[in-house]
Amino acid sequence: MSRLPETTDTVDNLPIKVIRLDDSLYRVNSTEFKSPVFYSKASNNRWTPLEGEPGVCYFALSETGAIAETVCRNAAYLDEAEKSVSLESLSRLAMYEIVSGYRITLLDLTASNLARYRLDAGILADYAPGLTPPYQYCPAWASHAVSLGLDGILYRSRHAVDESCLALFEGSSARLAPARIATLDHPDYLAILEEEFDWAIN
Amino acid sequence: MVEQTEHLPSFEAGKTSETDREHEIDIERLERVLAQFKHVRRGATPKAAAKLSKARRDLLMRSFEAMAREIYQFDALEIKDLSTKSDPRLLVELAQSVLSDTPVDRTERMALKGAERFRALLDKFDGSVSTKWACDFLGSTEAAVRKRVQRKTLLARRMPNGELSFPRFQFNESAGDLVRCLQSFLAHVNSWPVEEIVRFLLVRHNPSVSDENPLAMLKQGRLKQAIALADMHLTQRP
Repeated sequence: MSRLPETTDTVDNLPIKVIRLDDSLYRVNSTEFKSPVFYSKASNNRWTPLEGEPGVCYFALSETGAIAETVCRNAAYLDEAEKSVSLESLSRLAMYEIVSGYRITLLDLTASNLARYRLDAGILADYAPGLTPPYQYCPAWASHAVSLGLDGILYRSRHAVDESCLALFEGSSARLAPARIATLDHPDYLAILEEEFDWAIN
Repeated sequence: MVEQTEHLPSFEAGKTSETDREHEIDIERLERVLAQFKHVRRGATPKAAAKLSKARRDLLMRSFEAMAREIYQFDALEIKDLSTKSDPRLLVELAQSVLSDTPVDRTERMALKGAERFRALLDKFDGSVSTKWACDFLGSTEAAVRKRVQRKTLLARRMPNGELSFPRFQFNESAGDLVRCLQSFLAHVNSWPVEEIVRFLLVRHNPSVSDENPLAMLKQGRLKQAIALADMHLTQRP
């Protein structure tokens, strides 16, 4: 059970977190693009605001989180035979580390006491097949966060609940400097795929 | 697997001990097996043929020794179980046994697991068919079918023996044609590795709410939706 935002949900009574982006953000992206930073306006992404803008770029706070949100999606629900990826596809994806000295202010849905704000983990698993887009709460909360002047939303990955992820709104104050670490066929990433997610390769 | 290993017979000529004779390898049978595969490739020089033959023998001996090491570690129940397996399954289980005992390269271990999983996934969707089957079904020559595979207007994987293996799910057998919308979809994902296309089509895209996969979408004519999902495949998103 979760709820829609209300006019009384101001920055003073919502879980707000200010982070300084000295710590790295991670994003997996195709190597065919010049930059890994892409602000999507796709309505089938849960944190796209109701109005369809601003666009949103998705990051993870760890490399494991970035892999969970790309290669190992739906890990909890898939059969063993479905948990696999081609090595060639991995070689076409790279892990990018993004740093920025800027401070950003976020709606923090990873806070441990969401109930205090009359919210619960249901918001992280929001899916309503009968609706278009199929979400009951998330787009409305994204719109609300934009209206409050926030830079984005911190949320837990639904594919790996220990991992925190960031939905950053286009036009936020952050200036991002991405650097490519390695392609995903690197042994370190194969180790994450195997050890964290029991994924196989072809 | 038992901890105590049985004595392994020596395969080197002239080193047969009493214990070995109890576990005697049927050398004549082995020779008959080897004779089946002895042939000289046309066009190969005698020197090249001899070199290739030696390399084959060395490889065979190495494989034989590796398999023997594993087989002699199995207990009676495991041997009984393995004896009922098909050749590919036997090789997979031997390889798994080697990998579980030996520190090996992670890539090899994951690839072995991946090959098994890929086969299991394909089996769930009617497995694969041969080039001849595909030619007969499509009423095309082998050359035409191979050309289509090259252009990725047909899905096929090249097997280690050089043969093509066609996932059967792509054929609509009641209509005598390919699955609806598949041609257009394949044109859209032309740059993808074949294994990734197959996996994308067969794996459920939203398994927490439904068992539907993109192949089912294509069969229903929902090409746009399948393409929209393909465009998001392996992209970072919530």
